Amino acid sequence: MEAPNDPGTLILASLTADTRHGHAIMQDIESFAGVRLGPGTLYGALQRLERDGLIEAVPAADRRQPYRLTEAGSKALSARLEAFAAVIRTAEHRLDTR
Amino acid sequence: MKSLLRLYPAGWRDRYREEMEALLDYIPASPKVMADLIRGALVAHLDGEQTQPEVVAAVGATAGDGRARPGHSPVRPYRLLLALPFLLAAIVLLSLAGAQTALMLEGVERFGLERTAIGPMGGRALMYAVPGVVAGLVALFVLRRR
Repeated sequence: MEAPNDPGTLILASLTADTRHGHAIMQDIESFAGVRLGPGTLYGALQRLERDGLIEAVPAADRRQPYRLTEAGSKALSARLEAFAAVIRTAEHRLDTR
Repeated sequence: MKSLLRLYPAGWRDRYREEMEALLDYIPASPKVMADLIRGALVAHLDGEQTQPEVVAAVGATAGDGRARPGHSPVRPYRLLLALPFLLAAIVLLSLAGAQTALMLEGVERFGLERTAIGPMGGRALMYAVPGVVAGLVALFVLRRR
């Protein structure tokens, strides 16, 4: 299971709302997760997600290349969120029964 | 800072250099960012072996913006194999050079080693360091070559 702060998961979460280019993804992730990805980390994750067909590049007017989530990306994100939710449910249940 | 992008594999640069440069226009240079770029380059070299070029080429082709979107050409396994002995040699030689230097400095500090002894020890450290650096450069050249 990927960690919730895994760069790939954060990028997928960012792209659920809109198509975004690298800098916009970086800013969005910082705003909703408080994590500032470095450029090497960001593009490493973008490359892996693109290679795996979870995101795709969309036409760009300038050097900044926007990306969007693919159908496979939506499914992968849903699966990851479900795994996180299962962990949270278990932890909450155990806290309640202490 | 953009010059660090030269450390990335050629196929990677073809595909992502332009947009990474655009991103770096917005990010102030700092040691942390530079370290992240260097780490990213290393991962890109190592990860290239696991990349499926045909998938990436297909994804690149769907960009649909009229610009060429070449796929990521990974580091070929044979190149890694070729570079590995040079990398190992660089690590061993530079470690020996470091140990030799440490011994020399300790000798000077603890035993008041005389100048006459420093020359040969320093020479030995250099004897390890120079080929170590050369081996490291050769490994990088092999990895980065198109």
